[in-house]
Amino acid sequence: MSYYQLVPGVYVEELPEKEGKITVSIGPQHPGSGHFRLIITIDGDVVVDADPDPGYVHRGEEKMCETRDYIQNIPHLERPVVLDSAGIQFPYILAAEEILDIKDKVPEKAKYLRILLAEFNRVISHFYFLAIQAIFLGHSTVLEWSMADREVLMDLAAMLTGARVTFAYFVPGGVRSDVPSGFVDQTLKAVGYLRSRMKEYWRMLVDNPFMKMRMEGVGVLKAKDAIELGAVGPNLRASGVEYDIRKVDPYSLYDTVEFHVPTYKEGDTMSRIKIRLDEINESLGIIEQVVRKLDGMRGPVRHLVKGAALRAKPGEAYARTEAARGMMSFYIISDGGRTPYRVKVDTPSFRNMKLIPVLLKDVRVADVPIVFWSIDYWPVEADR
Amino acid sequence: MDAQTKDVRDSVSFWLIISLVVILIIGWVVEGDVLIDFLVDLVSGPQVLTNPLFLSIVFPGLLYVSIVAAVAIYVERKIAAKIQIRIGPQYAGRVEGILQVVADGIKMAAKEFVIPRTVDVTFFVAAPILSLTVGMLSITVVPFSPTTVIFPFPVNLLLFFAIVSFFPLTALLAGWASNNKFSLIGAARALFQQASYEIPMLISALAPALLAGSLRIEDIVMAQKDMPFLFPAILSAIIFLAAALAETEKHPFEIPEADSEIVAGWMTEYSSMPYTLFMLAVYVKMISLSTLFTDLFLSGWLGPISLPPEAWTVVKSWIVLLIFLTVRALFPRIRIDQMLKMGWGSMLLLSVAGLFLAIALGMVVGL
Repeated sequence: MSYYQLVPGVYVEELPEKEGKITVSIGPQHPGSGHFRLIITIDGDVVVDADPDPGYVHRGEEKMCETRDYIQNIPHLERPVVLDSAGIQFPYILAAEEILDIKDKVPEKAKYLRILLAEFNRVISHFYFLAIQAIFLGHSTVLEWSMADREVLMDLAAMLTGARVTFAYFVPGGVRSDVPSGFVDQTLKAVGYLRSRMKEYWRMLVDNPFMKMRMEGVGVLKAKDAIELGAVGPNLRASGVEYDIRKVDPYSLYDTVEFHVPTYKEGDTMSRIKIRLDEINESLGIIEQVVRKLDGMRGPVRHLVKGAALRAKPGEAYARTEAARGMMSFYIISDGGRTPYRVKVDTPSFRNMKLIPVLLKDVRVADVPIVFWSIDYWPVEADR
Repeated sequence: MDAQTKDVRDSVSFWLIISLVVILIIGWVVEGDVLIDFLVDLVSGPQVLTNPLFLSIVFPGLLYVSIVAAVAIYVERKIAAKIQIRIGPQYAGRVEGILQVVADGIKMAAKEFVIPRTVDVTFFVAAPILSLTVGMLSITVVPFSPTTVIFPFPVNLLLFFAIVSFFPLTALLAGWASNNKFSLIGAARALFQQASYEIPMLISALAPALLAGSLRIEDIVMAQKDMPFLFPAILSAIIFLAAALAETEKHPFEIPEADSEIVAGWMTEYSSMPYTLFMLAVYVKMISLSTLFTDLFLSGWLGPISLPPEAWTVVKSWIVLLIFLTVRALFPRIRIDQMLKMGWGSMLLLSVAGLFLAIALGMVVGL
């Protein structure tokens, strides 16, 4: 038996220790763990059992929603997923509009602006993923590249919304502001630049013999397992299952833009890298199309909702979108008051947490950080 | 556990080691008339360049190695920054941050040397000193010119590898004395790594030795009068470079220090100057390996234009050093089991193949 003193002298946690095996607690203060603990049992150099221990950053976001009205809920809901703040806003706004019964009044231009910002955020989030994956592999160049190239889109997002990370741009009824002057040209230029950069990323990460050595065939998730465990997002698609909410259940004019859903058969760590690189390319394509559509488009971007209109009728609403990490959905129940009666957030990281024990089994200790990060698990998002 | 630390000055054995070193230095420098010889040579002019004290303190000894190491650290950071679309050191020294290494050195020297309560103090303190000593010893046997070698020895190629193979032992000493899981894993990885790269390295160094018919580095260089051994022994040279990267624990073989897995490997518990000594030892090792590579494959101090022989060696070794420093930005870290598989598989086979290739090509070109 080994003991971990969580609070010295007050609460002692008991970890089961098997004969001849070592139990190691990675986190919540290990450089590779985040606000999250992973209890792994190792036999020599091979992991025999991995037990995720989430809950260190639970913020009570769902409870907080019950005391704020539909507009006041916007800024704090972004906090769990700062890297993909438009990703978590999108389903909330869709569900809120449904329950406020203003779904049909949202202007077309606002719908395109929402797609634009969501795709910006998908690219930003995937670049962050690549950066951390690279540094776990000991590759500082891709870390710096991704962090630098993220800035290109973050600056554009700041131009559009006024904020670099947490935009609070979506509001029930539309978006906060219109396209600034010069935005279209700069976005097209940025898309061209990032397209050329993606080739270099591919060469550095995928066509690199040492990267292949490290990641090919490591942490394999079979398609059957992925479906059974309820994996979502790029992790599911990297296992060969073509499932993208943008295609399956199109929302907010996603059916008017052209893109395809990349999938890979292997389901290993390398394919989870490749799928993100492909998705960045697809997102850049969507951004280009949307920006060309926005160019010269006239009309309002917001159907203003205030006063009594913010009071929802009793009822319920559900909306789901494809965030950067996978399917994100909101379920809102209203009892007719200014604030929701109950809000339930279903985040992709929470669903993908179930993959951790399966993926880490029979993996070498040195591979634990890269396999763990390859599912893009974000503790704050899972704990909400 | 409370954060008590031990004072190294309480340890008797530490003072024993220090006094032994002091006695040795006094015995050599003062009693052996080395100092007087040096002063006499200094007055008499160029003769000083071959004086043993000058060789060991100034060139190619302590001073040269320290300066090149400092420049190498700066250049490494700048190259990595350029590849990674960053700026790199920028402020210290006003011009492109050229004094960054000095600033870092002062900072490191000013830090407290934390000795955790659970460590074995004597070996914990001795390990970095030994590591740098081994590094400096390795530079003593590498000739920069027929006369510029600190320790002339008939089979100095063998002696070099004998010295260099002590490095993982100092890592083990540091890791074991640290009494820490991460340190011990790092030290074990360093030993495993040595077991994988050393044999390919020795075999690929054998190719120029066979072509020259001697284990004396001076003879090997003189045998490259017509053609550097890089051309017949190209495969051996590549394997030697790869093994040298593994020896210096640089990417993609930075396995014993893997910071995302085992914090800082066998250096986890070190801080302040002892940590600096470890870092310096790594760069010294890099300098001596690149100089050896120059001697074995790039015809050492022989060059097309007549320059001082040392200048050729220095310039060529810096070019080799640049390769060491650039590779870091391109590759990820591989796993220790992959390293072992590579060392005992493809690297070993290729080094043997390179040996035969070198002999065959040597016969063709008539070396």
